[in-house]
Amino acid sequence: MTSPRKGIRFYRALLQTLPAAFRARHEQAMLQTFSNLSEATGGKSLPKIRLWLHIIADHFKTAGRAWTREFFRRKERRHGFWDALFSDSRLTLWMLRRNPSFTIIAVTTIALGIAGATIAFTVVNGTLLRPLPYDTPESLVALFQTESNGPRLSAAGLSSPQRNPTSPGNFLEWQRDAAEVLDVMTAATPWNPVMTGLDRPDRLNGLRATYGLFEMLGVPAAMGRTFTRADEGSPHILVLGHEMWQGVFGGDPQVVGLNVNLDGETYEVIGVMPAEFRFPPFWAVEAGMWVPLEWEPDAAAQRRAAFLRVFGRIKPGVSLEALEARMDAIASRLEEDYSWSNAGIGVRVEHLSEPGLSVVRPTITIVSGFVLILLLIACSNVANLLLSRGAARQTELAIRGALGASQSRIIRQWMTESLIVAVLGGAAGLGLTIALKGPVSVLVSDLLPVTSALDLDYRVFGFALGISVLAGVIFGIAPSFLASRQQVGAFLRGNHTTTGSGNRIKTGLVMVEIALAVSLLTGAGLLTKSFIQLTNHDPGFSRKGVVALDLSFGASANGQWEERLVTYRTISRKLESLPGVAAVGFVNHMPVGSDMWGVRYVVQSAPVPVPGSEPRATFRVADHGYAQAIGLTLLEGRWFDGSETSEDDPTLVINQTMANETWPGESAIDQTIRLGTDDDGPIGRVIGVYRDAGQGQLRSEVGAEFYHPVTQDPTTWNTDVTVVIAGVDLEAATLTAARESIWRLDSEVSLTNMRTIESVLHTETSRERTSMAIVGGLAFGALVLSAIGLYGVLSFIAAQRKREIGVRVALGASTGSILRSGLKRAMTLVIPGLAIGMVGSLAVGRFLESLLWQVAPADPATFGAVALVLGIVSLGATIIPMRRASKTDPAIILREE
Amino acid sequence: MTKPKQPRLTPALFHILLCLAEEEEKHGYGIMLEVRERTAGAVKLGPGSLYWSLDRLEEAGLIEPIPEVASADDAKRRNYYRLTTRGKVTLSEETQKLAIIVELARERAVIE
Repeated sequence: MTSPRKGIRFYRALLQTLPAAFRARHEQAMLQTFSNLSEATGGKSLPKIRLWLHIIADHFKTAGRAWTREFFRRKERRHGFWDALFSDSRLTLWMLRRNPSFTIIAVTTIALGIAGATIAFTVVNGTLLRPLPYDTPESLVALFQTESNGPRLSAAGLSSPQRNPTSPGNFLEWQRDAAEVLDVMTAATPWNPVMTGLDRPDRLNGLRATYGLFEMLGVPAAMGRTFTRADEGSPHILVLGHEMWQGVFGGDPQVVGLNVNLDGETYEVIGVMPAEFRFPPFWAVEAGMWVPLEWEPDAAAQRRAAFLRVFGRIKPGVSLEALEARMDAIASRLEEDYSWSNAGIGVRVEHLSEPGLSVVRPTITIVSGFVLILLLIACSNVANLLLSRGAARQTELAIRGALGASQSRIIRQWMTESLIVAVLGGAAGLGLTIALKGPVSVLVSDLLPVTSALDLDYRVFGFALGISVLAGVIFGIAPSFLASRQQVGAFLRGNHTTTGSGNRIKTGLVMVEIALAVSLLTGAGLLTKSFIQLTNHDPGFSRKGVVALDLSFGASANGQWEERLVTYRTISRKLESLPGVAAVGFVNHMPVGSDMWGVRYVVQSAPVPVPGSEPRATFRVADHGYAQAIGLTLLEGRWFDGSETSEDDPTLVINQTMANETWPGESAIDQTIRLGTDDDGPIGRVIGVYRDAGQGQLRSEVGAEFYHPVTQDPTTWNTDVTVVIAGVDLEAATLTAARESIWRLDSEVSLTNMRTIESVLHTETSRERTSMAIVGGLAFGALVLSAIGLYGVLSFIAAQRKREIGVRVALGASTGSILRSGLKRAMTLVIPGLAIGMVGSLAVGRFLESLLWQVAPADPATFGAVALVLGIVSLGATIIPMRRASKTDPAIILREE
Repeated sequence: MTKPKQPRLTPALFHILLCLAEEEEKHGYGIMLEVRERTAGAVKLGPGSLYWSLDRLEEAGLIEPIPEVASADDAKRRNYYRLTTRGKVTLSEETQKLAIIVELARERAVIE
């Protein structure tokens, strides 16, 4: 406190701790007083110290008093607020009881909107916002191989070509070189062994994963233990999932320690996982048991067959970008070191949740957007209801205004009403959500990742409350302000009609509703058209009359290749002899929804391509009966006849796309290609061309594809095959007989997943069907709500013009002319609404683009149909109130005046 | 309008009122100095308690600020106060009470 200036500054700082109101009144005077006191000390130390002691003591005393007072004042103000809210609420509830029809319509409308929004949020909450059920899931990643020239010899079960599995050779290099940034890196591959020792052999869905899997996930077993890196060298152990423990082992509490026979080998159950545990969260999602994955030394070095999915846990403090950079560097090194196998191969790193979510995110986003549009329409409707009621309550408002109610008091009263209606609607909506939770879960279960769960947790309740309040504010704000602007004078002069701005807002709201409904209808129309396209699309094989059944030889697969061929032939002949069966064929992978193996090839008659840029084709292995059984159409040449042997050169039947791409303008028959990229690879000869048929997904574009006969392919033909049976009206009895006859031949064969081709196509289009159903339902709701809105506003206008209409009718105007003038008025709302809606629809179309199949986002036919539907509905909503108005007896109206 | 709540007249408040009893308006600092002088330092107001007290008295309607006193340069910074009628009445009532107490004390020879 040397200079007075410093003293002043310090005192000013001290004053900042006083309540603002006190400071505003006295700060200047207090500072002045302080500086006078300070001058009076004459700059001597002792008086100065004494002054400061006095000032500080005084300050604390004052601050204590002032803040205590401030606290009580605020509390008093709050009391006033709550009192007013309480009386407003009481008044509102009384009013709502007095007007049950208004209450029911408003609350139901809002309840529907809120229920829609809350259900959509429940789905978002259960999927997009839900963390994966592992320890610190945010540091778990998935690593994929990317290939500049598409996947090679890989089980590309996923739709995106940029999420490919990798080979053991690459995995081991990744694992070694990424150890600084990743705590654990594990690889996994599906394993579907046949379990014997039960009544019937059963094929189980499992996953083989390297020993670090459970350590990486950080999830302990519910019973027994999981396998760890300490188990290395003893791969015959098994961890069960909860469902498989319940389903296959009947929930046996003694299951740990049990030995089971899988593919002819004995495995010991060492643990059972908790009920909510699932892994992986995408791709082989049905895995219900986990077994260690080990390689033979020579398999570990191989880099061609890519079948491993790779997962890792990032070290604390390392970013995803840092991991990406590290993996890119590793991939570049591998490209140099192993140019023969790794040319064009990169690595893609993602959060573990991403591959699963990226599939559902567009649908969820779109549906959520549409739900919010519906909620907005509901809000506009209720706003209109409130506006109309405002007109009816002019007397009340005028009296309150005359008694001195301030504008803000009236706004508050009206906002309270809106919020109470909204909260009641929200509560009803939440009830509806709870009631609909079951059916909705069933409806959307196909679309969502396995790790999702539709729980009604605190977030859902919070959301419902929040969105209700928001809706209340949205639909309450315009009516409240209009109410507060009610002119007492105008009312007393007998001007009882609503203000012009009231009507403008009402008509504006209806226009907005129509526009929103048009956008939603267009969305639904586009999705429906896309779905129809997809279901009517010719997949290139039979759409009906085909049944498929997966055969797994399991332990008996250890037999000779030639013996197996004999088994196939025997099964074929036995099945063909069953009643109703027209054709029987074997294939390794059914089209649509199954694995797709790929291979690169070199065209013999063309110049040698740069390594890594060889064309690639999907290949399938089938027997001589398959083309007829599945219904492929041969365009040129012939199908296999069963006489091909492994001593002959490989024969190929290729699809049209491959024929056109490889030998444009000439016949593909008898042309040759070298399979694989090795110089001494086998040379295949084309014997037939078939019309393009669906491959992985019905909606994806068809690429090059060829079939190769089973009799020439002892290596790629694995233990699992699909038998395809064609026939008209195949009876359940026939199918049972088919199973029995196969089991008579080999009792160790498991027969699973019997399905008709219709059900395969149905599943394939389930995403489209579900989104179409949901959006269609929303659009229907929107149409109904906006028709109600239009009807309401026109009824209101008709009521306002009752006198005018009465006079006109009295003067001899016909019903037709009254209707015409009403329609003219309606069109001033409908046409702008439709126009705005069409513009909005263009945006909606763009938004939906990812879900559309062979439909332009601005499809003219759909837009036209929507305009027509809306026109018809608005016509109905106009004619009814106008007719009623024109039918009123003019004498009654004129007497009322 | 309800009657403003009468604050309990603490010695500080009483002395401020007394200070303003002279027929002239005074500013805060002046009051502070005068009170200190009159009580020989027994009632010592700091700036905080001074303005807090003035607020209370003003709120009770016992004193009132004078909006504009054209007294040279410090007018910008200072409020001048004077007693209201109500303040005068209150002050005289309070003093009356004190006088009675003093009289009583004298009868019993508590003081001379």
